[in-house]
Amino acid sequence: MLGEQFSEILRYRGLLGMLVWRDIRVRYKQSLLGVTWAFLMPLINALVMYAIFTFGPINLSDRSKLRDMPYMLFVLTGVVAWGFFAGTLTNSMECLTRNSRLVTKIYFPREVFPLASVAGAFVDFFIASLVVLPFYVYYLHTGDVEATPRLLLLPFIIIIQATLAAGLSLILSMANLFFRDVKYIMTFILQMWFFATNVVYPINFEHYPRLRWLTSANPMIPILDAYRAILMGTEIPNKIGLAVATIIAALVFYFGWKVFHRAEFKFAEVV
Amino acid sequence: MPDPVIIFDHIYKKFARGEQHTTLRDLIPALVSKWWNKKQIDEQALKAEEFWAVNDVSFTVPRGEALGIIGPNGSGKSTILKLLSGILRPDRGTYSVKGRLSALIEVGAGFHPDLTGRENVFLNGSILGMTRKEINAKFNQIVEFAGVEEFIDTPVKRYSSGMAVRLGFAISAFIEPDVLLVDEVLAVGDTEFRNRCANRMDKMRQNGVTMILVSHNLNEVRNLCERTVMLFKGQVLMEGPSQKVLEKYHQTMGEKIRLEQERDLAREAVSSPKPARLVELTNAGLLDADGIPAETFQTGQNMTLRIHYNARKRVERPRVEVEMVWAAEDWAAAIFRSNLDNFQIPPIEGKGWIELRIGPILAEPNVYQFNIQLGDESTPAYDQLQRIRFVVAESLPIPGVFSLPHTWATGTDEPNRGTGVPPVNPARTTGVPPVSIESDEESSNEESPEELAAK
Repeated sequence: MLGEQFSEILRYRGLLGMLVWRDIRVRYKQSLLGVTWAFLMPLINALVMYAIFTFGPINLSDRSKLRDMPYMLFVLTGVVAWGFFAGTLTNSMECLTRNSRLVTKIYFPREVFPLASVAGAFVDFFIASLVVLPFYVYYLHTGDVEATPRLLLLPFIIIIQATLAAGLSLILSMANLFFRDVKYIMTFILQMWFFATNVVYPINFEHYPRLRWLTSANPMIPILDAYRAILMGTEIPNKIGLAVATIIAALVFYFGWKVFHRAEFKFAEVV
Repeated sequence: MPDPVIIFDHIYKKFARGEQHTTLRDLIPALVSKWWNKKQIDEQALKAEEFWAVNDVSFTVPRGEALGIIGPNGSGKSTILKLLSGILRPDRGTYSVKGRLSALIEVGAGFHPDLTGRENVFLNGSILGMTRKEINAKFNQIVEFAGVEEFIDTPVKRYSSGMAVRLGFAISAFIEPDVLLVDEVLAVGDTEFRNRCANRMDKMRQNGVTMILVSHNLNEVRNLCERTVMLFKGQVLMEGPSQKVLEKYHQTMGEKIRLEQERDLAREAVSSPKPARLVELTNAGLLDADGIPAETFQTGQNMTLRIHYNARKRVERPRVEVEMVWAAEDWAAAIFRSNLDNFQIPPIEGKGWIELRIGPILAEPNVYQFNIQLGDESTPAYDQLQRIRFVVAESLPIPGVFSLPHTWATGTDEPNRGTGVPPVNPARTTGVPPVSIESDEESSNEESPEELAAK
């Protein structure tokens, strides 16, 4: 069953590619700077955060709290990786409702829509990552970070994050088809999730040991920790947290896939 | 039956009426319990608000044959196509389709207005399951078929709606399927494009493509399909050779309509008595040439619509408007207005009737309905009556939507003789004299059918 579904997706990979290409093309078609936006946005975001947390009342330039990471690099990785995650969810939220006429008229595996949202956000993520590069090279030069074979682990972390995002996309795109409230609720949830994650500031519960499990319950925390450790060239902290995050991502994807296929045949009736 | 390509075996599909007000609170526990138990919670029982859109429908189509599906709106035709193509899943029953299935539909739905025609062809081609290679190979044919060569690199948002529709169809016309589903294609586009579509379908037929054609256009079903299934309210009323089923269709529809109308009237009388109006249309009925009430009329027959009124106040200069609506598509095929015909209905008071006498009906065999309203200069409608339905059955062949009174003539060109006006030999007069509207006392001007105006 699962095998059949995957092979069907493979048959429609051309469509998947076309949808990703369409979304990207349409997104940047009438803008002056075009794809430049994909890395300009995280850069501006990071600079704003850098200004706030360097000159503001809460100062994060003390590297001891950041596991010796320069704050600029810390915030850039955070913003770029979170952008991939949040971008996927916002893209996928309306992917079925926006294409309702296709959903009611033509048969093709419906999961291409949420999966195309993931792939589209990944392309943006790839471009945005280029922003990190000059800073990384600079800090290599100053000796603040170190390039190690751990860099090879990067794709695995990306896969974990993408799996989590894809699972949530399947669930959310479907949920929003049945109940349009989901879109509004998710705006708030994403905002709170952002604040509960170490995107622009470190999160640890060293003064509240009883709450430490929270860092494992939010899979994005160990994922961001891992990205940063890999860039720094240091040991990945909280390996158990990362293992839990991997399991959560796999479960969310499996559950999302299952539920999506159960409900798929209702889409055309409801949308 | 040799080599059936499509098997549709005792299929049931139910739909809910109206809006579905399920809440998140109900859904999540239901989904979870379903997922865990994997038990069939009596899915076959109908809940209130639900009805069978497809009710125990079976048919098979052998390779290379075309099957027509006809029936009034809401009889389940499109649902069957959606079930076959996998968009919907039946509640009960099994079906199988051998080979690659495709639908000849307007895929303009997938067009993105900001993308060019070329880009949209590739996008929609892949939505329909074509590979890039296939699209590349067919690209020029598609563009030529749609007739948009000059604009292929223009964003689709600058296309006229006709161009967009044509391009949308053209893409689906060039898939090479084993099974083709056609849903009301020829209802859009200009005549020339419709013919192109019809030719394309003929060609596919010759190449052994199996087809299912859903249409309100009965002529088209007759021309393309060997066999036809007649549906009514989700059930198969009849299946067999197209000619036979189409004949039966007109008959049956007449009966069904009579029953339905009686039921509607009974229900109205019980549930919602009309608020008393000063001027009321109490009833309307159709009479044939012999003055006998009828619901079915043969093409070429005369028809009388008798409208009964009850005027509790005097109306000095009443006027009546009657709309003849093509029930299948819900558009007005002809409109009759007493004032436009310069027929002044004498002042009315008390109970009485007004008749609209329609000369030979030269419209396509199909289901129609009359909507009537009575008013005067100051009040457009004191009252209205709707859904007076009737069937036009075929006796004279009407190949198009309607026929116009016409004659044929021939002549020879002999420039060196006489006045240069070619001699005319009236060859044969076909059709029947023009339609006229009469009252008991006087007759008014003639007019020809107005179907064209409605288009």
